[in-house]
This record gives sequence, C-alpha cells and structure tokens, in this order.
Amino acid sequence: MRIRLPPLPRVPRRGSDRRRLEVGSRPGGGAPGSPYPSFDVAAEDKWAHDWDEKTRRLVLQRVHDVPPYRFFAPSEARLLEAICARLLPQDDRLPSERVPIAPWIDARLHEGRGDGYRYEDMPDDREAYRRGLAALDRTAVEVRHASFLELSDEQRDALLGEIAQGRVRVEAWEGLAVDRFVRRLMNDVISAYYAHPLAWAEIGFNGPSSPRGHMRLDLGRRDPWEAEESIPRSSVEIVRRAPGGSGGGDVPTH
Amino acid sequence: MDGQRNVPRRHTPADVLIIGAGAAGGVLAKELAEAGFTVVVLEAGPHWVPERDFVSDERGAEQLYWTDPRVTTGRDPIELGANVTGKGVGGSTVHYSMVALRMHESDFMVGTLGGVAHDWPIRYEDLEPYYERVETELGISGPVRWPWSPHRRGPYPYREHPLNSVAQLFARGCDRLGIRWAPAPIATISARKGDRPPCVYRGFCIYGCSTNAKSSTLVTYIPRAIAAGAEIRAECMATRVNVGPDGRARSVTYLRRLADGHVVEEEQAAELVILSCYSVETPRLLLASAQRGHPDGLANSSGLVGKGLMVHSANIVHGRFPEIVYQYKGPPTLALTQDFYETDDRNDYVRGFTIEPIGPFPIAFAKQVASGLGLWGRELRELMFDYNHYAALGLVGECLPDDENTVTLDPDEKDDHGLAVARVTFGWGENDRRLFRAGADREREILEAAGAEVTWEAEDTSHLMGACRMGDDATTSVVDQWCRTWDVPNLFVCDGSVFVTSSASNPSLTIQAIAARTADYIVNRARTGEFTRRAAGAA
Ligand SMILES: Cc1cc2nc3c(=O)[nH]c(=O)nc-3n(C[C@H](O)[C@H](O)[C@H](O)COP(=O)(O)OP(=O)(O)OC[C@H]3O[C@@H](n4cnc5c(N)ncnc54)[C@H](O)[C@@H]3O)c2cc1C
Ligand code: SF4
Repeated sequence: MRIRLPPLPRVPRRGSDRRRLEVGSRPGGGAPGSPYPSFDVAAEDKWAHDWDEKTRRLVLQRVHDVPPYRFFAPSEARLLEAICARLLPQDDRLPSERVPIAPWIDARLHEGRGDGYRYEDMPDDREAYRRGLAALDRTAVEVRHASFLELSDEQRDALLGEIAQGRVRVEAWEGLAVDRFVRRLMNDVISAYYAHPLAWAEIGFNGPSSPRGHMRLDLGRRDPWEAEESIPRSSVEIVRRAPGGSGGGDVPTH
Repeated sequence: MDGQRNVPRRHTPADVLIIGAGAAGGVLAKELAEAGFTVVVLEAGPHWVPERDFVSDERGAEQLYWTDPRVTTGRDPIELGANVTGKGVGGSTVHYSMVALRMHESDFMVGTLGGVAHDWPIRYEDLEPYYERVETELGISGPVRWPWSPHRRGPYPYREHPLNSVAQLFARGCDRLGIRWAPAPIATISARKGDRPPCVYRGFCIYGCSTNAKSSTLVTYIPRAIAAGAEIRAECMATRVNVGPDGRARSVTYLRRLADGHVVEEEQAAELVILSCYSVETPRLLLASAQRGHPDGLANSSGLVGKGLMVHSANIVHGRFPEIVYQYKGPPTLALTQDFYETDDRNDYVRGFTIEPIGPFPIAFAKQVASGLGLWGRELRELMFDYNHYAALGLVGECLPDDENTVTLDPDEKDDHGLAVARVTFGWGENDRRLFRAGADREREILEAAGAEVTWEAEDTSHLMGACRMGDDATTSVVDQWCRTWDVPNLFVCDGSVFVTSSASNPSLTIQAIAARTADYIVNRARTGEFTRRAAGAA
C-alpha cells in the first residue's frame, strides 16, 4: 500500500510542490525492524505544519529527482552501489523502494562540492574515490581471488570489515590512507541515507519541524505529532559488542 | 574571470572598510556606522534572508558553510568546513549553536596564574561593559543566577529557556553527583524582540534558524548597521590589502561574484581597514598581502601571523537511556556546568573545561556512531533505530596555545581564483590530551549518574581561536589591546584570531565584546582627529 499525501492548499500551485511524497510501500515509511512501524514523517497533519514550503521542495526533489551517474564509469558505479548496499543494507525493502546512495556521491563529485578541506595525505575527493574503489577491488582479488561483485554478501561483509579495521596490504592501496578513505565513504553514505524521509521515519525523527516546532520538551514527553515508539529496540548489546564500545577498544565504560 | 583583464572598478573611498560580516564584523559595522563613519563591509558569501533561504534540513544546510578548499595537516589535523566556519552575511553565527558565555577573570591571566601561556593585554573588567552591551543587543536568554562568576550583574536580558530532555538528564546526573549546573545563556530569544518571534524549539539551530529567533549578527547587528548607512557588499572576496608608500593601508582588492556567475576584480579605498575574517582567512589574507616593505605578509614583523591557532577539544559522550529522549528537540545546549573550569592542583593538567548537553541530528549522530563505535552495515542501521533513546554531552576543553599550530599559505594548492589556499597545521599538546580525557570521563560519569545504561565516545573539535594574537609588545603579538596591528597604523584585525588563550568558554560573545570595545576605541581616536568621519549627523 502506497501512501499518497495530498498537497496542501496553502502551497503555491507550481513546480515540485504539487507532487506527492511517496515514502515507500509501508504505512509511515518505517522499516519492519523499526520501533516506529506506523510513524509517518509526512502524514497529512505533519505535511501541513512541519514542512515549510522550501523544505518540501528540497526534499521532494531529493526523493524524486535522483541524479544520473555523471562522474563514475558504469563499472565503478556498479561497484560503488554494491559497496553501499553492504555499508548500509536495505534488503528489507523492495529494490524500487531503497534509498539511493551512490548516485548522490556521484553528484557531489561531479559538481565538485567538497567539505571545505582536504587532508594533506589524501588526494582530492575525486581521485580518492577513483583510486579507493580500484584498490578495494584489487584487495578483493588478492584476498578472496574474485572481484568484489563476484563475492557473496557474507564475503563482502568480511572483506569490508577487514578494510574498515585497516587490516589490508598497504601496497594494494598504493599509498592511499585506507582509514581516511573508509571514513570519507562512510560519511557520504550516511549523509545520503539519513537525509531521506524513509530513514527519518524508521528512526522516529520528526523531520523538518518548521514552522510548528515543539511544545513538550520534558524527558519522556511527546508532542502528539511526534513518533510514538511501539516496539522498543534497545541498542545496548550492539554498543557492548561494537569495536569502539564497552566490550573492547580504547573507550571503556562502567 | 574575464573581468580581471579590465581595469578594476574603483569605488568612492570609505571611512571604514570591514572585511567579513560575521560575529565581529557585524558588531563593528553597526557601532561605527551609528557613530557617523561611512562604512563598507565586504563579505565573501551571500546575504541570506532566513525566511526565504534557510531550509529545515541537515543536508540542505551545506550552503551555509565555508567549503572553499583548505588543506588540513599536522599530528592531529582539524576537521574544517561546517565544523568551524560559515560563509555569508552573519558569518559563523548563522549556524553556530548560540551558547553565549563570558570568559572568566582567570582566562585573561593564564600566563601569570600558570606560566603556560601569555597573558592577555586586557582584563575581564575591560570587557565587562562590552559583554553587557552585546548581551543586550542580542537579547541573550539566560538564568537569573550565575554560579561561576561573581561579576555577572543581575539577570540576563531575556528569561531562560525551559530545559529540554537532554538538559534535564544532564541536570539529573549533575545533581546526583553534587556538580553545580545552570541553564545556558543562549543567543535565541525567549520572547518577541522587535519583529523577531521567540524560539519554537525546533532544534534546527545549527542548520540556520528559519524561525528567525536566533540572534545571529545577520538579523541583529547587520540590519542596524544598514539602517545607520553601512553598505554590506555580499559575494565579495577580499584578496589583498594594499599599502601605500606612507606605510598605511590604502585599499583592498577583491573579487566580486556577479549574478551571472562571472567574477570581476574591484578595489575599495578606505581611511581605515579592519579584517574580521576569522582565524583561518584573516591570516591567509595578511600573508597573501605580502608586498614591497612587507615581504613576509602584512602586519607580520613579529613573524606571528598565523601562529598560535587553537581549537577547543569537543569530545562527545553518548548515553543510552531507558526513557525516550527525542534528543532533536530545542536548541542543542540548554544547560551547562563550569565546575571544572579552573586549574586544580589535584589534576594532572592545568586549566579546564565546560560540559554542555548537545543534540546531534540523524546525519551527525550516525557519523559519530561510525567514528566512535566503528559500526557500519546492519548494526549501524539498527543502532540508529534507537536514536531517540540517546542523550549526549559535549566538551569545551581549553587548548593551550602553541606556535607550532599554524595557518600558512599552501605552497602548491590554489583555489578557483588562483589564490593559494590556507594550510592549517594542528597537533594537541600533552596538557590538552590529559584535559580532554578527564573531560570525557566526567561526561561519562554524569550520564551514568543520570541513568545511562551504556555510554560511548566520539572525538570532536570545535571553535577556532587565535593565529593573530593581541599583546602589549610588538615583538610577541600581531595587534595591540585595541586590535590595531603594530605594523600598519590604520589596519586592524578584529575577530576570533586575536585570542591569546582559548579559555574553556564558547568564544563568540567574547569576540563580539572585543569588537564593541575596538569600535569604541576607533570612535575615541576619531575625536582626536586621527581617523576621519565623513557621514553627516555623526552621533
Ligand atoms: C557549528 C558551530 C557552532 C558554534 N557554536 C558556538 C556557540 O554555541 N557559541 C559560541 O560562542 N561560538 C560558537 N561557534 C563559534 C563562533 O561561531 C565563531 O567563533 C565566531 O562566529 C567567529 O567570529 P568571527 O567574527 O571571528 O568570524 P565569523 O563569524 O566566521 O565571520 C567571518 C566572516 O568573514 C568572511 N570572510 C572570510 N574571508 C573573507 C574574505 N577574504 N573576504 C570577504 N569575506 C571574508 C566569512 O565569509 C565570514 O562571513 C560555533 C561555530 C560553529 C561553526
Ligand atoms: S530551536 Fe529556536 S533558535 Fe533553534 S532553530 Fe528552532 S527556533 Fe531557531
């Protein structure tokens, strides 16, 4: 069932404003494992009060006008998509309903938009991606004797895990700082995914909240239009198991 | 860049030319225009209209940041970009988090008290009346009683904001441990001020406040400056300060971006030039202005332009709570403690820190999950399902100045205009590290006392300071106590770069108080005839 959100009468009748925000096939856009399976970040009342016109336009564009690949070659784009699918898996969603990630990385590189700084020991982002993707695939061949795209999901995860922890043969990376590349990639993946209303819905984030704002600020209090948790999912165990959590690493707790 | 081949357009000379319309530039423009000077402000970024331009979206806020290329290096390279500087009228105050603190008496005397740095050439008392003035102009909302500074007179201009859930957890943890806390004084109004409505607790403050409650200089000082006759020239990037044969600053050359995207070179002459471009761009501009008589850059006879850059350690500890928190609601910092601010002989470090609750939005939070916990894949996504159960505390940790931490011109890399980009070199000192380790431990204790089931940490930094420090000796500082450069009598540097030490307070209110004091000084000197005031109806 697709939810279709009627455009607001207040919205000027032009451009993307009149288009509808379709947020996936489930009510509210949440994911099956989400504590907020029925939260709808763009429900009618919210669309009316929490989405000012310019933010509507921006997010509608983000949802509907996913840019074509202009920077990466088709083979690079396929590889990057496969990597993103493991760094932020969405196999609980139909392919047509997954939040696009790689196209936004491509767009940023194509347009030459950066963060405003480059580590001295890193090339610029464009070169870093070209070289990083090639090095990652080389590592797959060296370690698993097959290119990344030929590996199973489990093998892909294992390989990415090794790379994320820096357990790679540096020569294959030809001087590219692996840790910085992984961080760059992770940050880009996160910036694309958590900018999407589907992602906001599944974590119970209220969305633009403009112009209405909030009235109930007290601990445990919820404004009627905020996400209501129905299936709590504590992350305590995940933190305990995490490399940088209480279980290990250099950041002890308790 | 066709236009650059033509003779640059020259404007009518101004009394005062200010470069950079941020925290300091805004204050200077208003005070000097109201005092009867003709004022021109060059600002590299656009002139925003909050209601029109500010989207309520974490990614959409990218437009507000200084994202021109810079190189970061050193033992502990700093994350620049969004984390440290804005671009556009209002400067970094457009996306700052509004905490409006006065520095402590001891902050001005770190040399005398601890022997670990230079003293400031001014004392708390010198700034006090200016703190008062800026707080009134911005309409700071804050508590009636301030536990840590005996000199704070009376309540803040606006009533304090209510505590949000994260601040309540912080307060609960502090209470249980016997740590004093107070509602945070912040630069967003809690009741109407002129045509600006009060804060509605949307929490989008660091992405630009479309409500217009946030007291950035864009909506406070700048409109007053314009009303008093100042001209704010947006999309104009200063590239060089020109010095005449008399050794005085004559004009500034700049690149103006036209509506069609073309860039033309222009020149603005002035009696008096003030650089307010902040700790990276001010030294960059001074160094790029090397010319006859000033081979190592302008105002650099001490060799200290670009040296002594500081940044606050801002380590974050996140705690998972059984209660639902909704950490995105309200301004991020609504309470704080300065109980660990001063040097304490029991510590293995000198100076101290402030602890402030924060409320990262989903993208920022997920990045901290990735960097702090090392998570990715399914576990990252699953932890994010629990976003609403987290509360975080952030540090403002004092960083001792070190002349090895620098801003220089990169020998190789150029920006779109062919100008050398800034190269920022930074490494923590041993004291800094001990201090932020202790700070993170305290944050953890407070969260645990408040009932956190599990905690984890992400490293971070915030706030640039220094790189053109003030002092009372021309050989050990770049500007005097009035922000006047020692070398060029009509050239001032007035922004965060004049900081001598970093303090453990968020810097903007001090930057603005210093700017108000410099403006007063210039007005007084004009009375003696040193500087011209051409505008009619001088106050
Ligand atoms: C995310 C974030 C949160 C923060 N939170 C707080 C807080 O809660 N409390 C606090 O006190 N401080 C905070 N700060 C720090 C505070 O914003 C800065 O310290 C302060 O704004 C610096 O003031 P400034 O006048 O020196 O520079 P800015 O305010 O940065 O202004 C400099 C201006 O100069 C312009 N400029 C630079 N170079 C040129 C050039 N060559 N030509 C023309 N224009 C130029 C820039 O575009 C900019 O507009 C925060 C900063 C950030 C980034
Ligand atoms: S919380 Fe207040 S200051 Fe922050 S963006 Fe919202 S209205 Fe503006």
